[in-house]
Amino acid sequence: MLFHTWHFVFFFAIVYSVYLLLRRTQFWTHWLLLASCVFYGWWSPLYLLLIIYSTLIDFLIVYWMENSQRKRTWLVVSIVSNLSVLAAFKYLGFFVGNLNGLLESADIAMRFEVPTGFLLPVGISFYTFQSMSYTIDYYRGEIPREKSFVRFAAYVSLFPQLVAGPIERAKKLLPQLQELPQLRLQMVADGASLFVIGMFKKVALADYLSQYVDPIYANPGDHTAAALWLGTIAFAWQIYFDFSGYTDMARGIAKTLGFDLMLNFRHPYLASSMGDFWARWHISLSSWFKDYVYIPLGGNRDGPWRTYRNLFLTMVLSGFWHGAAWTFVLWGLIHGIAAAATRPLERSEFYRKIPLLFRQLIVFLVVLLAWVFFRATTLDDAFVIVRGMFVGGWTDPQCPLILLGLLLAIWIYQWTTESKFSWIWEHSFVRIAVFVFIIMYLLLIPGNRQSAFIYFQF
Amino acid sequence: MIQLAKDDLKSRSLAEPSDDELTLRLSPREWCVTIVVVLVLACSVSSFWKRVEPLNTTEDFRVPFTWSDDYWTYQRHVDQNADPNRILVLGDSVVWGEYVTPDESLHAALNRAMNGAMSRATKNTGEQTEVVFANGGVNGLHPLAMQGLLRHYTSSISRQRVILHCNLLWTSSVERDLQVDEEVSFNHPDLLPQFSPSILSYRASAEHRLSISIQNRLPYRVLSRHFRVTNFEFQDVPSWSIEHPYESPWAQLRFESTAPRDEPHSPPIVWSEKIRRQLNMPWVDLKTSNQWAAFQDCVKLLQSRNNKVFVVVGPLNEHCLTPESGSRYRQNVDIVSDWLRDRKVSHFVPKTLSAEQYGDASHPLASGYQSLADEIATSDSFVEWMGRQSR
Repeated sequence: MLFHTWHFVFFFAIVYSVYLLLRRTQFWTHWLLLASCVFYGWWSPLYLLLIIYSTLIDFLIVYWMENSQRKRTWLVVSIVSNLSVLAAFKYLGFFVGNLNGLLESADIAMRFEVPTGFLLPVGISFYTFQSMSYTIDYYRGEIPREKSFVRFAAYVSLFPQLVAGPIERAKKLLPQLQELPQLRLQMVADGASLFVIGMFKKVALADYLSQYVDPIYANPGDHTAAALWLGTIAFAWQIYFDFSGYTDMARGIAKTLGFDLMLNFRHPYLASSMGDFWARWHISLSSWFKDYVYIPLGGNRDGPWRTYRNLFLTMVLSGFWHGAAWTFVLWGLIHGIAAAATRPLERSEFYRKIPLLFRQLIVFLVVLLAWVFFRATTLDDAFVIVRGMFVGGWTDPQCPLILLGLLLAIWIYQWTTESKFSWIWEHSFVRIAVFVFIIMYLLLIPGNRQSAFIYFQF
Repeated sequence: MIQLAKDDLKSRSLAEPSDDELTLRLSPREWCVTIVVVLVLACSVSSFWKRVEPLNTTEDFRVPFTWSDDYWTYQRHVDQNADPNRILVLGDSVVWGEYVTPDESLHAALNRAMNGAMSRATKNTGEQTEVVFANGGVNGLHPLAMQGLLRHYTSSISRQRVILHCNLLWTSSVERDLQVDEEVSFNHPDLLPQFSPSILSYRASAEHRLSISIQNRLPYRVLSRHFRVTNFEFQDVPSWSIEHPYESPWAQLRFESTAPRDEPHSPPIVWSEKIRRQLNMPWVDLKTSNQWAAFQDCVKLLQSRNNKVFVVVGPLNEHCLTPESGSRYRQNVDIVSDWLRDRKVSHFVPKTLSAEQYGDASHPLASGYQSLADEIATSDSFVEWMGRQSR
């Protein structure tokens, strides 16, 4: 069930009405859990089996861990069981395909059957990570054991953030589920604001940009440098609007229910260094990798080379998290190399003297190059695009001027919010005018297309 | 990487803005203002645009073929005929005039036929009430869609006299009756009843049906459709801009709605030059027919709005039917006629026109329309219906 559909509007109207009625009773978490199950089961009721499995395993493991001397063993069991689910449903085909490729190149006749018919459950990477964070945080002594299974299950499956994050931490979300959330009018207003902006990002911007990007990436060999550059720039903004639009809607819905979900994006294309980019892009995932991969690997504690290695490994794993394909691994690899290679430069006085706009442009170009691998269907296509971008000739890219104008307007808006001109947005009249424009646009302009969010596939 | 970010952020001259500073958000009071402004705009945008884009029509105006999906223009045309002395002839392409120019279609022929009758009536009674018939047909319409069209876009002619054409061709096969158990492409799907009754050949997703059901009730959505149909080559603005990257959408907007050159949709060729063999139309049982049930609903809807309805049944081109098929057709005509009589709906079943007056199985040519209009105008039921209404 997509947020920008009428199904969801009706679903939420029912859920919210009953939620308001049940708020003063002890059943409000039960209701949220039931609503989340319906929301998730809407894709396929079979998906529910997996999320129940993940939830039950982690709940029981922490229960057993509480009175066990072998806490580490239980932690390993939790991690292995969660990653096994991911491996089976997300990566098995990739591993088997690559193994067969290796066998073929070694002239070994043996082949393994590539599993088919597997249904990649929506949001599996998100809720698996969220559930795992609970056992890890408990093991580290950062949170107490959650005694109510219903509450824990509601934490793992809370429907606004279930399928594409933000990946919440138990220490932040579980306490919100333990007490009746305070529902203030301002929260509801904030929730509505976030939802409307998120919907605009998805319906008006991301889906529009995809119409320019998709044909270019479907046949990259047919396009010259200008179209490949503009197509990749358009994709960079498309994926940002698509994912941050989803997150805004998720956070907006959660806010109207009284929950505060973490910020996931902070104008990433205004980043002035690779580190800054990762503090602004998919924050919930990058902080998850920082806390559970980068720091356990040693972080920046053991000298520069270890730090570079840890950064590199973390980024490659982050790429692999996105999908079972070499294109994603390469995307992570580029970010890993860029983060490690630019770390000393970014800390230097010289770098800080470079004008901010220029630094932002450099970071954007690196990120742009990486997006080629993220978006391309195959590695071959990705290399065709990269080559084409630099030596692909120059013909009319047929890029709509409105699209370019929109991107420029959005960039200027984002720039003003972080500049001394941010006062513009403090005026009530300006904000109302923007919202009236957004709502009227959504009412009048888009057609009846309803495309899924890009990050649902992860 | 987060550490890196922190290092970098420390070096920045600006303090990192908080989430709330980054997000455009409204206070509850501002939301109230926004909602009021949006409601006012959404409710008035259609009326406002009518002023911006005046609809220039002639006496014989019909919604042009290329604008068949533009229900906003259709609604405006209907609104212009919201007058007790105007009678809209409602129906599909038979009323619209598939093979004829606007001044040759049924309403125009009726105007000519009635001019003579009126002048005779005026001589006898001394009253002078000029009644004008107008073309309310839409190309590609069928009873299931007509039901939606009448429900959503013709409320301004409540209580008025209307002529409704019943084209039984839509019940001539399971395909036309949308009873085939597979997805079938047909015209005006957005006007169909989306949920009930269930139509076997209509396979839209529940989300699409829900969306259409809601949009049909929102006044501004029909304007949005108008823009797509008449200005943006049947696409929404973003899709249009992809195909016209360097053109301005603003330049596409019309500030005067002049219908495109309105010519017959098909060349006026006699059916016998196109149909070599007689057709054995299987006909569906009217008891289970979607299209007949929809037509019945159309009549009931108009009656519930206190419209004074006159139904013209057919005449189908029986010359092109096999004897067996023709016999089934006549049985169906009798059923229709009986039902109309039971509901006390004035109606008329014209005789089949001569063979050379048809362009195909159901559409008359220009001379056919005139013969049909002459026959209707002089029929007892029509004269009685016209007389009853003018009293």
